[in-house]
Amino acid sequence: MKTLIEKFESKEPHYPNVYRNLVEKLSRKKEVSTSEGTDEEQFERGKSFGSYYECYMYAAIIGMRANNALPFNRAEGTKFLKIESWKPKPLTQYIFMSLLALADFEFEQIEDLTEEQANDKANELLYLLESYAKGGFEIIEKQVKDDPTYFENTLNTVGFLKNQDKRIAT
Amino acid sequence: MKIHSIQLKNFLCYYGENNRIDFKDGLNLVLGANGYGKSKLYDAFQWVFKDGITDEKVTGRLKQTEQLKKALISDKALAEAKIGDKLKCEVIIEVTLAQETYQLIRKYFATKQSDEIWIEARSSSLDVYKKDVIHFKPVSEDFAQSITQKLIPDEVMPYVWFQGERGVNSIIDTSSKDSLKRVIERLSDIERWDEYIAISEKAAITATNQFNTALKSSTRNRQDYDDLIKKQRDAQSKLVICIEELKNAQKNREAASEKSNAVIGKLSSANKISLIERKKEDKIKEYKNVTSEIENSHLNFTKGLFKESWLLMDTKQFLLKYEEKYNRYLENLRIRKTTEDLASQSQDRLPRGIPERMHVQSMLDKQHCLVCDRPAKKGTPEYKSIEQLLPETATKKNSIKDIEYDLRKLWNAGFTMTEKSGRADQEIIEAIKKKDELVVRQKELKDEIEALVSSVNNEILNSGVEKAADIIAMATVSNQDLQKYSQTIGKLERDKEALENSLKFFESKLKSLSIGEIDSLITKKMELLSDLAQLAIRIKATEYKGLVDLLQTKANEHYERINKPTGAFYGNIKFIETTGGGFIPEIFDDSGERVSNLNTSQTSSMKLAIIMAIITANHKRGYADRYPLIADAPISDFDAKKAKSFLIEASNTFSQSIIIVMDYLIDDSTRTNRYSPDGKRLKDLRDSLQQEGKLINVIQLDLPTGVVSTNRKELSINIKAVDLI
Repeated sequence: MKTLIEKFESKEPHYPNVYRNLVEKLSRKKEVSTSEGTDEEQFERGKSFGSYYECYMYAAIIGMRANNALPFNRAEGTKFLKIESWKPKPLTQYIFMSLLALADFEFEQIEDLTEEQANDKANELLYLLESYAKGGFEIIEKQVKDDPTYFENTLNTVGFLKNQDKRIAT
Repeated sequence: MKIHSIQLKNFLCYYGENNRIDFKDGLNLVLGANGYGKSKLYDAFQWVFKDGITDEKVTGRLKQTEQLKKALISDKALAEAKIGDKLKCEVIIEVTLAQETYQLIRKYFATKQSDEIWIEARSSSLDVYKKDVIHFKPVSEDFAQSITQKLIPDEVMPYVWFQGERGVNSIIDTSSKDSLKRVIERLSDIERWDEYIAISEKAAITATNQFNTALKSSTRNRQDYDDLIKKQRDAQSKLVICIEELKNAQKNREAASEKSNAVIGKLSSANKISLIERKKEDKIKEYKNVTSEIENSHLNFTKGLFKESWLLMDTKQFLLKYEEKYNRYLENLRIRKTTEDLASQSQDRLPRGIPERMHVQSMLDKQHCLVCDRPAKKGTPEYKSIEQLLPETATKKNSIKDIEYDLRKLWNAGFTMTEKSGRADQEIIEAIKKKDELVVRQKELKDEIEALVSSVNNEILNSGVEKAADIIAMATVSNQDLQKYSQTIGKLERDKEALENSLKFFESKLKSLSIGEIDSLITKKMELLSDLAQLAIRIKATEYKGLVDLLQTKANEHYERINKPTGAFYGNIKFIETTGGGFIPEIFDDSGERVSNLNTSQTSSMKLAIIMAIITANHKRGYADRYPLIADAPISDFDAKKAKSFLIEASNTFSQSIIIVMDYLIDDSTRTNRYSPDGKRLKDLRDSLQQEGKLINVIQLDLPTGVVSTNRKELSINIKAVDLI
């Protein structure tokens, strides 16, 4: 299990290139966002998220809640920060836990894994995460198309999350 | 003089020709809000009589027509003029003096030559007409030139025509002992005593010289005489220097006093502006803090998503799904464990490590127990029992224990996060509430700042004080100078007194030397003329004191009548004699204690009472009947009761008074941003005046509908007589 977690955290998730503009619109613009940036800088830029990974986590949760997993060809994706660098740590752990819950295998299958087996399972979880993130980006993009400035109001960013269930129902 | 009417044609904000006010005996109360032409009406009187209007930048000075030129003409009239138009600006005042009625007409012309160029007359002209039965006819040029002085002499005008606090301050400066001295000298015959003093002192000096010459010719006591004369001359030289220094110090103090006077009128406004500016700065600071807090609160929403785990709100289903999977795993694990235990029990006969691993593996491969020689098919308990004998199976057990522990740990962490994110709703509501409160506060602060900016602008507009800090600094410096020179004067006056005493001593010594040596008539003459000079000085001082006492008594009568109805403390005015022979008015309470830190209302009412006293104390000259009072905004510091008692007092003091105020107006409920006369208060004032046998005539200065006072090119004034039925 320890190996599986380590393997998972060593991964660099990809997001589809088609959402590159969206990610950049919502997050601080950095080639590889390794910096959270000061809060003030972030606000001045009118961006909801201080880093790409925050935006990514947000999209993944949206996708998971909407049960909208959309697998994609990783070759047409852009990689970014390793999961082990994401903060806060408990949030990453919760996402990992949720992925285990949603994954198409039982826990017996992660007993007594060799290095190679652990890596395979970690990839399985990573692809699942990427599928949900893509599903989340799809939902976010729809909202941005309806109202391009919607996510410039940070209260909307929070509210959008809150209204997810209503959105799914409708 | 009695003023019957004033007509203003294209004069400043009074656009057009239809601007006429008829005045009556008694109190003429002109009502106008800020920017409604109050001060310009006062300027119209000044323009006719003095050919100038108030210079907003220099207290007490007028800006003459030569400097103003077409700025005297209504901006609206200028804006509407076509090329070639000749515009006339005119003010006509109709007055009666000694039963003759005169028209004073001052005119100024400017012609529009092109869009940019105006041909402006260099000066205005004053035409005077005298009423002959029914028609007005021109008077002689000589008469026309002297008429304004006849109607109101220069020395009287400042005491009966004044403008707001600045005007009052320039007449009565409570910080200068010379202020009252000037009043008394201007309005009495006291200066004649200076001539008596000069003549008698000259005669005394001649007699003393005659005496000294006679003494010098005497030979007895020559040595003593020479010593005394030497000492006397020495003291005289010192006295001359001391008097010279005293004069210089007095001049310096006078200059400092003038400087102080120049700013003191603006000081109250400057302090007010400075106070509002400080308040404004504080509000701006708070506004910036609140704005920054709002910005942070916006930021806190996305920060909350991650730091407060709001991102995980309503995601408990994942924890539950995990829990389900985990429980399923535990159940399977339990079954597996039971089976393994059973299998393990069957192997209890054999110790660990026996048979060796290769034999156990062989049995598993063959699916047959070689120990008891029985088949052990894969998946059967028998097979699992053989498998238990493998050494690595024990390791695997430990591995299962580890994963179970890790999975539970993950669930525990997930449970904690779900609990935490479960509080998100409440936290978000609180964050929104806090942000909303901040937005409300931000709006309040914005309004407060705008109101403060507007009151600063109004105060600047009304007072002409643009650089409040400079005025305050200048007032501080000139007050320090005043104090410094006053101290120097005090010291020099003490030195002078000591030198004069020495001279008296030497004189008496010389006299004692002269006994039997000089004709007694010469000695007597010197003594008498010296006494006469002293007497003249004393009489002048007594006369002066009498005038001061009279002024003080009269001032207190007016002061009491203005203040008593308010019920607030007001004390009584005393003119305190200063070391240099001047007087400063101060307020004392009933126990005789001097009251410091007077508020502006007390100071203003004291000064207005003194001005009235100057008029009433000179009752023999009949100033109050001969000259109408014209005051612009004299009661801006007063509350409603005090304003009323002042107006009654002014009516009782002057036969005719024209008082221009922004008081007695209320919001007009029928028109936006307009005022209407406060009928209730005006009727109350009328009734009170009627009880005193006085009349009131009320006029309102109004702006036409749709006109904004800040747009000067559209500005015109409506003059309305207010009916108090």
